[in-house]
Amino acid sequence: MKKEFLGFGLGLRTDHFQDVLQDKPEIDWFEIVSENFFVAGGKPKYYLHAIRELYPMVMHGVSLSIGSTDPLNMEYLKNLKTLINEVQPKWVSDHLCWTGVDNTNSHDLLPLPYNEEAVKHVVARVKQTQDYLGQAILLENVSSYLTYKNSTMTEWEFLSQVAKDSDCYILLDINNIYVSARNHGFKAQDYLNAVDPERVCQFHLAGHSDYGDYVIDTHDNDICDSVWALYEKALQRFGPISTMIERDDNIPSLQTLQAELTQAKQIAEKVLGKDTIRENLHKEIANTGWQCA
Amino acid sequence: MRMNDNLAQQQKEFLSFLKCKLPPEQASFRHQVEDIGNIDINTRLGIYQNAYQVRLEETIDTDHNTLGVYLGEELYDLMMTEYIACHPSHQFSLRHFSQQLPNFLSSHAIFSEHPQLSELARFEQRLLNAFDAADSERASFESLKELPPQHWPELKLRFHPSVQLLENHWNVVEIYKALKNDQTPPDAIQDKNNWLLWRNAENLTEFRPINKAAYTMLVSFQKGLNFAGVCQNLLEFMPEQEVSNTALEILAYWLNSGVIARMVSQP
Repeated sequence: MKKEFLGFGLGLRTDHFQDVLQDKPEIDWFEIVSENFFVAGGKPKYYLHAIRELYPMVMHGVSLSIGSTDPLNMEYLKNLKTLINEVQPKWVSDHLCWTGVDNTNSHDLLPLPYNEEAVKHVVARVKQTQDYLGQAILLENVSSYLTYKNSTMTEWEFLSQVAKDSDCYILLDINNIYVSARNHGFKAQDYLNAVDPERVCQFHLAGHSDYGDYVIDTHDNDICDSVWALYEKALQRFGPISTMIERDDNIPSLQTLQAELTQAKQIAEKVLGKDTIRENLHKEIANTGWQCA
Repeated sequence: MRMNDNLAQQQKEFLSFLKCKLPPEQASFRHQVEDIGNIDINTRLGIYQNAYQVRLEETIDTDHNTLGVYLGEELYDLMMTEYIACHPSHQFSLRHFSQQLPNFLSSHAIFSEHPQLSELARFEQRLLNAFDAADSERASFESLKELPPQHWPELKLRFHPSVQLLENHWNVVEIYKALKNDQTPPDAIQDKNNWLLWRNAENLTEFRPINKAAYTMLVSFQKGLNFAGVCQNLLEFMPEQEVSNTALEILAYWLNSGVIARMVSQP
């Protein structure tokens, strides 16, 4: 894969299939959840292919379970590879976590301990995955609610080490950094400062639920001011990075999400300058014109 | 200990905690969780346990929303809780998580006393299967008209991948339709009835009752019989003079409805 600045994208959700196809909104690119399209045909595939004709796409998985101690699920990887061939995405991502063990899937993004044993374990599996897919993948930092006593490094050290040793890229979820920082009491800026800008290919932005003492990554709310502020700091450190809003529940209209995406773009223009945004934009996207207004 | 043994054990204990719904105080791996003060460990563990349950409940609710309305909140909650406990997910996609639900309902001590529940769940699953079955070409009525007469006896059909035959013993489709229209469902009554489900050319899922002749034709064609053989089976319960017209009418309906993918005829 090639690190490119795709501009500002949205997660493609069923609720918006028809609107996207009919209105062809000014959105630079879409991210799909890979597993949602592990089906043989019908409406999901129809809309996927029709929308892919109009927009660049990236694929984002939730079931690779790269940190599991089960063997890699080759049936899963086969499905993923088939979908990659269909979609021809700019890149493919999943999460730095485990989702199940003993052939049982929790369907949740469960945290790993941050230590050398886990680094070695994950790195070997990322390499195996990349060899099978024939391309580098992106791994995303997850929101977490607990840490283990047998962790010997910080989360950002763990993420950086895995990316470096496996030669994979990073999908940095700004909201997840905020959520985990609140839940574990670290400084979000420390996280940003430690991650290698060369490895970061994509940002996620999302909303969460704030319960006062702790925060849960629910993806069902607007992006809050604190996450916008952290996004600004991330742009300062990492420069123009493909940015995408991830909304999974309580899904508003496409126009509402577009307005939120415009806010992301305005922040990026403020931090980096309109010229930087324009000059770095991937040619395929820049040619559509709207970003340069 | 080999490398990863610690990690494997930690993951097994974590997952076991999620599945068994043990109180966080009894989680075997809680001593491995860092206590950093701002949130107590029970809350931290509880967040994961709750998320596990809620995600799977939401999946069942997406796939079996009508069954949920029919059962009412209390029984639906019981069903979801027990199903999740009995059938942890072994798939990488949630699309198939509920697939054991009809069998679960027909073997459960309480729910099996109401056999229509299992049939209703099965009907909802067949609708889902039709929704995302593979795409394929569809044969047209025009192509049937172009078929030379000498090719008719050898005619075989390939049905669209979404086509399914559903054999019910209860009036579950009537119950389903009433609930979908926010109406009071009819009383459950024993009523043997067969349905054809498929996804039409506009990608909309359809279901239609299927009479004995159409049922016989569908089953016969699916077994690989040709048109002559299918008509022979119709003759077992139909006067000879009605067979060809009936068969033709059914074929025309199927072709116009997008049920047939291909017609194969080699004299």
